Amino acid sequence: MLRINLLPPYVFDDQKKRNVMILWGSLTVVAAVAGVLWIQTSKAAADKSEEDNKVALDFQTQYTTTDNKIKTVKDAVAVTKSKQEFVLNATTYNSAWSKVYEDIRNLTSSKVVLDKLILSSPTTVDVTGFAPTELDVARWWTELRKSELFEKVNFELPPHPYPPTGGAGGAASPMTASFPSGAGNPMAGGGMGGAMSGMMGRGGPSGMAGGGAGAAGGGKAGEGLLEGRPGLVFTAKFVLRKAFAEGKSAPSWPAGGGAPAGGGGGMSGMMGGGGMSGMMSGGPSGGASGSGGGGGATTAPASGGKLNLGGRKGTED
Amino acid sequence: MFKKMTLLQLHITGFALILVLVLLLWGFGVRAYTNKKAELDVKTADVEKNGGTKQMVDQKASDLKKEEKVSAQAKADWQVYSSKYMPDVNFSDSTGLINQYQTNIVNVDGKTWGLKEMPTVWGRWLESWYDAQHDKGVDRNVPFFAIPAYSTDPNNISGMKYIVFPEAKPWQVVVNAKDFDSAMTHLRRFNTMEHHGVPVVSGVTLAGHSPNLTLTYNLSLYIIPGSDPPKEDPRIGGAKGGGGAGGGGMGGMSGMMSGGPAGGAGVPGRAGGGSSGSGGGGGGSKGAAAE
Repeated sequence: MLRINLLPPYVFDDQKKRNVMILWGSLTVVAAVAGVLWIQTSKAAADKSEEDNKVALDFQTQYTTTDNKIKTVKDAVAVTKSKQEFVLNATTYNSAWSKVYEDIRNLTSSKVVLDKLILSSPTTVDVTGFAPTELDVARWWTELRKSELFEKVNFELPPHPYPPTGGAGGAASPMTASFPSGAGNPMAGGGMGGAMSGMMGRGGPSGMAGGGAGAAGGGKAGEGLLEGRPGLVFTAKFVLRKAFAEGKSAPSWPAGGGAPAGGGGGMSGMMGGGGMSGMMSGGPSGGASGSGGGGGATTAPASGGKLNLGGRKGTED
Repeated sequence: MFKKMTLLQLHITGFALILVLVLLLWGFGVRAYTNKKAELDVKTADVEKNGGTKQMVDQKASDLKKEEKVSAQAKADWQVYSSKYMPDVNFSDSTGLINQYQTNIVNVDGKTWGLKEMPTVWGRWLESWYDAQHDKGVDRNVPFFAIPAYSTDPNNISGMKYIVFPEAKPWQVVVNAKDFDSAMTHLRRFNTMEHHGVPVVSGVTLAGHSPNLTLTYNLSLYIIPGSDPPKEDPRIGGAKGGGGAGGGGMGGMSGMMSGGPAGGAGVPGRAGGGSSGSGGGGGGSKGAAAE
């Protein structure tokens, strides 16, 4: 049986409205409660942030206080520390000299006689020496290349031009690029040739006496005599793997007024027989190396062609 | 009132009411707290970057300990170095500047010397230090170790925070060694010098062969007192004007020592007095001649 509602719709309007109002009223209450909770949560988060900030500020205060203490400790000891470091550097620097030269001595072939050792820069030792034959030098060079002490080892040997020039004491030869490609030269074939090629255009037997201008103690390769024995004079540059005294310059006090490590700029002057004036001007002051080299060059002509071998100065004119 | 509203109007009113409520809660409560939190978070992050964390505080505390250790070590090391290398320099005010200049500024091995005596005492001591190595195969090839005289104004002591011998430039020393080992031992011996300042050896070169090995180097002695010098004594006057005469006389000596360049270098501002100044001229000319 079909039920028919004959009542008009407005009869139920009030009931519907009441329900809707209850619904929205409930929703409003829920929203209000949720809102209060939202506020509480936000407040709690803000309070937490405030607390975190306070903790961070406390830590920062401690940090700053400690930092200031460190500064105070540093300041209190700064002068003493700089004095202590100066003395430490000085003693370390002083003791480095014997070490570097002894290291080289210990690696020197028994067939080679060293004549001059100059530390021309914190990593470079200029060497002049005497060997009976080129082969002896070549063998020594091979040994040096194996050493952990050196980064590079470059030698300069007498050239072999064609036609050959005279023997010891002869005039300096132009020494063109014949050496690096010279078939008979024991040094030319190996890896050393490249390093040497740029150095071969130097003077002959008389080279060593003068010391080249600008090259600290730079004698030149040539034939020579050592205690009556014929042989050859060579020059070499040993590039140290570890810089002398850790690359520090000569310590000076007060700090900051450091003198340069000063290789032996002046030595070339001494070797040339020009004497002490050349030597003395090298070294200690800023551009001293250069002036030292100049000293060497100046004195060289005066003693040109003299060799200092076998403990005899100027034995070969 | 609600009875006159339609259902749709009731829905809209309910929704609007909730919306207004939410906006009010956000506007007057949540927003303020949210903003406050955001602001504080930014500040906290900034503070934390600049030491506001426990980790950084701990690290700093550790740094402080390290620094204190380093500091204590530096002080201890300096004490050792000072007692080994430095003479006992008397900078106390009680003795007076004149006394310090004349007789008592430095105590070496139980003997006291005035500032005016120091160049002579140090020069001779150095010579004897070298001469004592004759038996060990090392002979000096320099006649003497020139040290310019100090100004005659005792007030100049107040400016002496350190003493360097020689002042202008290092001595250029040449020694002959009988063999390589003697030369190297000689070099190592510098660090064993005592009570005459810490030596600095630079520019060492070796030349020649045994037994005529030549060792050439630069040498300076640095004396660093443990305390600051006394203040000027205003009762001592009149000497300042003479100070400028400079390295005069002693400049001459260094000129002799070192050939050319040293003469010119002189020791500006060191020795006072006119006579010394004329000596300086001599030094300069010698230097020039040598050059």
